[in-house]
Amino acid sequence: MERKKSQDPPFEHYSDADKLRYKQKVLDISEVICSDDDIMIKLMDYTLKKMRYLARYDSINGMEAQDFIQESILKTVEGDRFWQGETVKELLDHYYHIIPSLIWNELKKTKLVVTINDEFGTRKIYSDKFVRHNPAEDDEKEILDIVINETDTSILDNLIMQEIIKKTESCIYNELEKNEDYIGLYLYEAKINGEPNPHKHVAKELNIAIEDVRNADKRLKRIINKSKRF
Amino acid sequence: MKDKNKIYPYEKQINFIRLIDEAMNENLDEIKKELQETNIDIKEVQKNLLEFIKEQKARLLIEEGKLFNQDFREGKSKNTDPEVINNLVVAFRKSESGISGNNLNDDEIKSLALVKKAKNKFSGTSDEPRKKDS
Repeated sequence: MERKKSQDPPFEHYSDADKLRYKQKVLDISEVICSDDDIMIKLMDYTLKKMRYLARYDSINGMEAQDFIQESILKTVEGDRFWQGETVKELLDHYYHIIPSLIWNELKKTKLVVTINDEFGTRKIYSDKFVRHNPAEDDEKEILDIVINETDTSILDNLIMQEIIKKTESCIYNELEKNEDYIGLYLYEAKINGEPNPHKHVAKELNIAIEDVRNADKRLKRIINKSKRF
Repeated sequence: MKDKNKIYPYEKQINFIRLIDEAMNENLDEIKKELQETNIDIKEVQKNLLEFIKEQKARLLIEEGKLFNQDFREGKSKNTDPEVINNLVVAFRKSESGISGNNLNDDEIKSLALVKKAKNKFSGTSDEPRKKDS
């Protein structure tokens, strides 16, 4: 699942024929994704939760969750959010990864409309400064400042994703620590670090039965589902 | 202790995404219910997105046709021999009407190979490795 950034040339260096093949591949796999009920339920829920977290609304500038999924497909097809993978799972990961930053980009377009009355009459002006619907909480300020002028899409995707991970992880760690669920904690770290066989790895590390790890996995999934509002 | 400001590498972010996706599998019924309460009809969403993909595929076909046409014209301008061009057209027509290679003469078979090569270039069936434009 490595990002093959160094192996393949960037999209803009592809020949016309390769661009066509790439677009065809993205559309074919996207078709599989969109035809799968369970995948779509998860993708819609994920997108909606990210909209609510980043904008606190189910619609931004008239764009709803479905529109962001559509945009993620289009941006990938056009190479604006270049994808280097081959499988349904990899493309789905890619969509999960870029959707938060597409929402963020749309949110940045939101402008404050001010009605002014001067010697030229009454008119509307649009402030260039992005204004949130609700004031940002202190801990949100950092990421908002970092990405406001960001133009490199892959860096932007990573930054926004990291912000979401940070928030979700904080909830997961708090919950695991509160319950003194150290098996769950080890398991979470093992999965995040990409251990090929996390259950076996944790059982060996903690010298416990694999059944205990499986039970911890169920608890962990419940906690993740509770924490994924970000 | 975790460094809160550290940005995970892409692979680790993807591991996190997969963890979230895996957890959602355990909660699908609940998620489905929540979406229904938000008045989201998944079937309708799927229909709209599949329609969108269909439109994009149609655009791709047009794009492919334009490139094929351009490629063909370039090839034609390089080879001004009227016999070759005639063979190419006849071979192409015969191949499009599903006439088997047995009914083509040697020149037509050679020309047909050229047409197939040009078609493969844009249809995604080429085995050639990816090349840069430059």
